[in-house]
Amino acid sequence: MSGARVIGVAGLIGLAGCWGTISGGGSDDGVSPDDPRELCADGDTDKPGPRLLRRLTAAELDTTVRGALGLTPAEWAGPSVPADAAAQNGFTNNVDRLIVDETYARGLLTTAEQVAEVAVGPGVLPRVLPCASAGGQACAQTFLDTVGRRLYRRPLTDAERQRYLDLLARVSTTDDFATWVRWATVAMLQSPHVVYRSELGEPEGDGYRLTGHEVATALAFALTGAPPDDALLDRAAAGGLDTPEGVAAAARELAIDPATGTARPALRAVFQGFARQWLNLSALPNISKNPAAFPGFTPDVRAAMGAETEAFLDQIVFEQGGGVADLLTAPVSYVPDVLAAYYGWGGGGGVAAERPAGWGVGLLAQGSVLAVNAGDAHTSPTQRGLLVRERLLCSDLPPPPPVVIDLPPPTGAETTRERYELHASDPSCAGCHVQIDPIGFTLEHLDAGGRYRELENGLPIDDRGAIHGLDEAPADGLAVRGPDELATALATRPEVAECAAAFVASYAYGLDHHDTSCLVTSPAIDLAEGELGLVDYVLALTATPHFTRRVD
Amino acid sequence: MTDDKPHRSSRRSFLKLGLAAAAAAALPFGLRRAERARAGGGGAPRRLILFPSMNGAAPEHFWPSAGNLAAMSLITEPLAAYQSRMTFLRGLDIEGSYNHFAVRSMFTGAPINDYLAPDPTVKSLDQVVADTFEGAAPSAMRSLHLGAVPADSIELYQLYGRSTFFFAPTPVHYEANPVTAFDAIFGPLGGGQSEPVADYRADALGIARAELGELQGKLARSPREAVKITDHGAAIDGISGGGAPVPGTCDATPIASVEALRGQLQGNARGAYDYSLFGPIMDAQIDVLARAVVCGLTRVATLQAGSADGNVIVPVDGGYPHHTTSHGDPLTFARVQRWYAQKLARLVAQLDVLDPLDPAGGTVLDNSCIVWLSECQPSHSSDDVPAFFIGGAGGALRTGGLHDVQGATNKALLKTIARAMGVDDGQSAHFGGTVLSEVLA
Repeated sequence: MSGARVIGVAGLIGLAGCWGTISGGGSDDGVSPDDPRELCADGDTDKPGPRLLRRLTAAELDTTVRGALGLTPAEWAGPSVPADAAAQNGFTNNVDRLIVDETYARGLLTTAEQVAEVAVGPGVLPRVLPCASAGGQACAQTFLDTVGRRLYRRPLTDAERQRYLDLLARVSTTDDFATWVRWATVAMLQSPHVVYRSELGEPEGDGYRLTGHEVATALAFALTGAPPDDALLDRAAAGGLDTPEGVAAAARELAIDPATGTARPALRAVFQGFARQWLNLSALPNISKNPAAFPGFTPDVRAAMGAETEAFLDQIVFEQGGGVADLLTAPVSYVPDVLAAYYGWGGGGGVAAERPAGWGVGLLAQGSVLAVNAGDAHTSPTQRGLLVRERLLCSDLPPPPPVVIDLPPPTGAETTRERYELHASDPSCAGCHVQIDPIGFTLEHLDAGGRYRELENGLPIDDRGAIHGLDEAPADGLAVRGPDELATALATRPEVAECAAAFVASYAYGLDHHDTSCLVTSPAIDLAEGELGLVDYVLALTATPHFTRRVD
Repeated sequence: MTDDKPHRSSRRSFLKLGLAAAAAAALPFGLRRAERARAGGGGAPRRLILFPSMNGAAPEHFWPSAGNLAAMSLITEPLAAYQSRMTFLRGLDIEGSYNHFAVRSMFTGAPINDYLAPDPTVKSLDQVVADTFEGAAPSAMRSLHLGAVPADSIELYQLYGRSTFFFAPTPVHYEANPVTAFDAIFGPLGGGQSEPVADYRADALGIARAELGELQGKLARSPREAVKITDHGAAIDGISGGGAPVPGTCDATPIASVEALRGQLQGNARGAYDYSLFGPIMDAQIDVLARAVVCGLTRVATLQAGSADGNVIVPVDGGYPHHTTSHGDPLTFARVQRWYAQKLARLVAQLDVLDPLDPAGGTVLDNSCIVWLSECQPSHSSDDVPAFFIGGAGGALRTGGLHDVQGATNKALLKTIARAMGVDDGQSAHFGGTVLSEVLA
């Protein structure tokens, strides 16, 4: 490993039980389907993880079919499989949540038959398989070598090819060649080699080395959200991904546009998908605000908040090559016109605008983040604090106890903080909420609609807070006041960058974030120490031992 | 979403052709469908519909007065026309669970200690009953599971511990898009419809099966991945067998409420989670469910509207976020819950028709049991939760009363309904041995 410090998300901010105040946590009599695999329990670093079969997500199935057959949205609407189940950490690509049960299998079969019907249509088949009009075994071989290879993401084995040729022999006795194409397509889309991304490897030493085609698949999905194209498959077949240098070169080509030196759109889209789930922003399109309290919070404003955050991420991560600290402290926003008017800033047009004093900086001051983590009329220091604890500090908090004391309803004569301070005064709440609410209190000048407020109900706002549980921090927490200080304090903590690193790896590897810290030890430290920006960190994930090797 | 047995093209063929006689003739043992259905249920062909009601309700607005049931309550008044066929169960507790995480307990009877507790390892009532129906008189579709904005985002689908109510014993999939649901159940499928289709489909699945077998051989030292392949193979086996044909009484014509959403939701899975469509989606899902149940396509169905502590905007007045409103003014929340009762009335009205499977002339409603049950009250207590059922399950359940069952738990309700549906006690052992004898006929 390259750093002296050893990270481990599972034990990083160990708040399980909130120091014994509540004996919560999961039951001991079973496991959840996506419980961490405890890969990092042995303290080893920069290690390869387990062999995996990663069922395609719905989006990956979509890109797989389109990539293999070149279908447009007009020709094929998309897969008819169930939605991808969310894991405990909110990610929908967890390797242990993505399974094939009967409902999924039926949806997959329906999808396959729909795709196959399109594929043999008069406007598509000649394009996909020009020799189809002649048919015959040679053309069938061509189909296996082109569409088959794209779907399997490797050449078919002799045994696999023979099964399809056997099917051709059966079909040919009564039906035409297109019928074979139809049912060969259906069969391919049922294949476990298509449905799962194989990360099994071949035996080597005391572990396994992923094949070139498996590496190509991992690279393509991680960096583009789509399967490997013909060129990358050719490269894998030629041994171009058998060395670290080869993998690094391919990763860079997939990720970076040489003309601009910046990330390609596909990688940006992958990262936006990650950020939406990491920051709990998937619910943004549905949130609404009390119209009396926030008359300007229209659907257009809500949509503009999403656009603002996407633009912010795009600029900081991809245009400026920023890291986690930059995400937290960048004092700019990129606001569309409608949002500039809502904020009352003037300007707009999506260009960089310096955030006014008091409005906070970075990700945590984004309107989207603030509005999602709030009620419809009032802020929620608890929700905002939880976001920081769970997503930036990787704290393991116990679930809320069964009986939760209701906060006093707002009367309009007090501040939100005054209501939430009940959490600190009630011993049954304090154990956990003292870890959560004081972080949220620092954001109290930013209201439930994402705007700055000087006063609340005509009363001054107390935005003093604290971050508890940090290494070498005072027992009563690291004191912070206001959104700027919160952002700065978090930006300087290695725990935060290491936590973000674990989440990024979780999204890339399909494993729980508790299980990824020991797979990405060195690049995570480099990210925390500012030696890597997030783009380079993502690229560094393709150079870890886990990316090319596995163990039992 | 569904757990139907036959491949859809064959179902579709029957739907299109309306071959009732052919469908009946195709059944084994020479029994006509209705006869076999009754045989399975011990009388009329019974149906079960589960309708979880999230976030509970203030007691003063939910329970009707025992002395004047006909007046109903603010929340249940939209169901007043069916009061004589309803049974209120006051004092029911969700056993072994509390707060919103009781969603995983309410229909399984399994104790769930908190949001992060492992899933139940037993089947929920719908699956237990579906097993019995399947064994006695298979429907074309084993069970049907629909949702109306069943999570606050598609990316929260089956979010662990919060939006799963039904288990087999793993969480049951649900379909949130009524256009997708309609098309899968009643609509055109494409794909080969010629006679050899089934053979070629079997060939295709056979290729997958062979590859699964080869792959399994490489996973001896990766047991977690091996289980995936084993389960995948079982899933293929599950969809490979034939199933009961679709009853000829099923209507495959478009449903207006579904067609009204087609432009927005066809091929748009994410769109089905748009709060602004909650009302229209609810209507459409109810209409799809009702048609499938009435014609006997399925005899077990669930409808999950919203999710535990989810904040779907309920279209009452300008719209209220469901969970947040539950912790506010009780009267306002009661008006929100009344909206759900209005939607349930839409379903009940469609079931209150002559049962095409019942030559005795009963209605589908009379042969059904529709269960309204909450996971907790607005206080988060899972004691004395709102609960009632509509329909007497073909005479197996008593209706028309309000029973104080103080101290009884949801397990007793599950056991009672299981018995009413003809489930052998051995198959419902996890519901315990207590029944609500006052409602068993």
